[in-house]
Amino acid sequence: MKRLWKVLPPCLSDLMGFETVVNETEGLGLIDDSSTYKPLMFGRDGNGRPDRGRRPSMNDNSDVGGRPWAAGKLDRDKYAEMTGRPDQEGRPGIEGRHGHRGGRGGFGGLIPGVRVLNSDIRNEDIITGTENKVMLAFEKGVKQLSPNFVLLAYGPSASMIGSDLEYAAEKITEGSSFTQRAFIDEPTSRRARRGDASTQSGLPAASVKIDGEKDYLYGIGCTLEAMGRLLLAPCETIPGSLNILGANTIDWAKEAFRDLETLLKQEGFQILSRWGWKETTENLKMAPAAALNLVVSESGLRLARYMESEYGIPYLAGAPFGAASVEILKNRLKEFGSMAAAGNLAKGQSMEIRSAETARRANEEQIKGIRSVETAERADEDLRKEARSVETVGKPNAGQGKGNDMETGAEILIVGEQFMANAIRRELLRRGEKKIRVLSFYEMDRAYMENGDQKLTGEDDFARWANAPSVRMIFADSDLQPLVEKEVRWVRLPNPGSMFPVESMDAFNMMGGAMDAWLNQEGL
Amino acid sequence: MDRDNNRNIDAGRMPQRGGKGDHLLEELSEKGMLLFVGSVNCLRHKPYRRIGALMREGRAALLCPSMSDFSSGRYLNQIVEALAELSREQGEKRFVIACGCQWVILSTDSELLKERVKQEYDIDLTIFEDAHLEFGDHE
Repeated sequence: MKRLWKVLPPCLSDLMGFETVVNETEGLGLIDDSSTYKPLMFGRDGNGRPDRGRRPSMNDNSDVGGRPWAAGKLDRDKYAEMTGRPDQEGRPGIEGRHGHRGGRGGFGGLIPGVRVLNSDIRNEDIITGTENKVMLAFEKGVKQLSPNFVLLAYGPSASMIGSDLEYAAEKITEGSSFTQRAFIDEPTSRRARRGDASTQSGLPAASVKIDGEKDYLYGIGCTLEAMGRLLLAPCETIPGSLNILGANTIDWAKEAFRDLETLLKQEGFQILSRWGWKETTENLKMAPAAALNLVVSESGLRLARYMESEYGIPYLAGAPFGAASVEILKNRLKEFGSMAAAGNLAKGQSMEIRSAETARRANEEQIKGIRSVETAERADEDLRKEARSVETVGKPNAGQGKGNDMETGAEILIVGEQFMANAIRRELLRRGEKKIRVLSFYEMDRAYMENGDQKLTGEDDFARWANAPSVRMIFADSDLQPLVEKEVRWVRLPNPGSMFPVESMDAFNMMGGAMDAWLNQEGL
Repeated sequence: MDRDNNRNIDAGRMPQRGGKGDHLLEELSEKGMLLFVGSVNCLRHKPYRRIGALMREGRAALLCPSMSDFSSGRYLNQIVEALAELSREQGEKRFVIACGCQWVILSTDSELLKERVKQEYDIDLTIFEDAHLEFGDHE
C-alpha cells in the first residue's frame, strides 16, 4: 500500500534538510512547529542523525552522540571554530555547553551548532494563529544568533492550519511594526528587558514551502533555492570562478568535499561559494559573479536552474565519484575554460556544456526544422550522441547509454541519491557490467534519468523491482534487505539520510579514485 | 503529576520529559502492533528512536498520509486499509495507533474508527493521542 512503510525506517524529513542547510550558514531558520529541532551535527565532523544526539558520559568512547569534544572525537577549539560564536570566556563558538538547551545556565539558550528555532506553538495557537509565536521566536533568534537573513518553514501542524509565513517574512523584512503586535500580551517589564528589538529588523526574510512531509533532499533543494532567491543580486562576472551547489553535509563526507575543492583549485578555478556546506553570507552573495555552477547532488539543481535563468550562469551537474567521473569533469571544465578564453562563452550562451536538459531542448528545436522523418531520426541520433559527449558528469555518456540495454530487465539495481547512484552506474558500466537501473525513494530529476530508472513510491514498488528474476546484484541501504525474497549480491550503500537505521553506515569518501578502491574492495 | 501515571497509555497521556519517552514505544507495542500515523517529521523525537528495530521485528509500521490526504479526510480510509493489510500479513488483531498533531487538529473521532475496524476486520484498536502540541517536545 502506498504511504505505508513496514520495513524501511523513516528518512530525515524535508525540515531536517532545511535545518541541515541553515545550520551551516549565518542565517536564522524558524520553523512554525511545536517542538524543538535538535542538532544533526553532534558526534562527527559533519552531519548526524537525531539518534546520535545522545549525550554520552565523559568516558564514553563510542562514536555516537554527545558533545563532540567529550569523547575525544573532535578538538574543542576546532568545534568552537565550527560553531562560530564566542562563549563568556572569550573562546569562540562554544555556546551552551553546560546544558542541553544551551546557555551557561542550561536553559533559554541555543544548542551549539543549531541556528534553527521553533515557534513553540500550542493548542490555543491553532485557534488564534501562530504569527505572534513566530515573531517571538524571531526576536529570540536575532538576539542570540545575530543572523544575516531569516528563512521560515512550516511544521506539519502550521501547514494544516494554513499559517501565513510569507506575511511573517514580509513583516520581518519591513521592520518594526511586527514587534508591537508580537508584544501585545507581554508584560512591560519584559519588553523593557528585551530592549529595542526593532533595531534588528529589516533582515532579508523568506518562507520555504516545506512542511515535514517529504524527504530531506527535497528540503535541502527548496531551502537552497529560497536562499538564492533571497540573497542574490546581479554582479560582475569573475572569470575562472565557480560555485559548488548541493554538497550537503548529510550525503557528503568531509574528506570528499575537501578533495573536490582541491581538484577544482588544481584545475585553476576559484571557488566563490559553497551552497549546502558551511559558508558565510558574504560568500553566498558573491555567487552571481561565478562563471559556472557545479552541481554535485540532485538537491542543488533547483538553485542551479534558478541561477541559470536569472543570472545566465551555466552549470555542470553530477557527482565526481570515481576516477572516470573525475576525468569527465576535468574535460568539461577544460572545454569550459577554453570556450571562455576564446570569448565564445558569454553568460547565458554556453549551450554546449549546459545540462542534459538544455541539450535536449536544443535538440528538439533543431529537429523542428527538419522535414524528412528519416533525416530527422538521423539528426536526432547525431545530436543525442553529441549531447551525451559533452553533457555533464551526472549523465552516462553515449557508450554507456548503448551498453545499458534495459529491454530485458535490469541485472543490477542501485538505490540511493540520484547523482551518487549515477556515478556508481557509470563506473560499473565502465567495468563491463550491463543492464543497470537506478532507483530512489528520494527526488529524481528526469534530465538525469536513464531509460528504466524509476522514482520509488513505496516499499512494494522496490520489492517488485528487486524480486524480478533478472536481478542479481543490489546496491542499497541494508535496511531494505528484508524486502528481497531471492538470493542477490548485496552491496551496502551509506544511509546517512535514514533517521533511525537498524544498520547505519555513514557517508564515506567516494571522490575520484576512492570509489574505485571501494568497488575493488567489494570485488567488483 | 504522578510520574507513574504516565505508564497509563490508554489515557492518552504524554510521558513527561526526562527519559520516560525512551520506553514509550516498548510500552505501546506491548499492547499490539504499533502503527504510527503522521508526518515523517514527527518521528524525529526521541521516543521513536527504536522504531526501525521494531519495524524489522514486524512490531511497528508507519503510515504517512500527505497533507491533502489529511485535509480531505482520506487518511481515515488509509488507516483502515493499512490496518487490514497489516493484520492480514502479520496475523495480528491488536493494534496501537500513535499519531502526529494532524490527528488532534482534525479532531479525529477515535471511537468511531475503533468501532469501524472492530466491525469490519475484528481488530482491537488502542489509540494513543500523541498531543505534542500540548506537551511540546517528546522527551
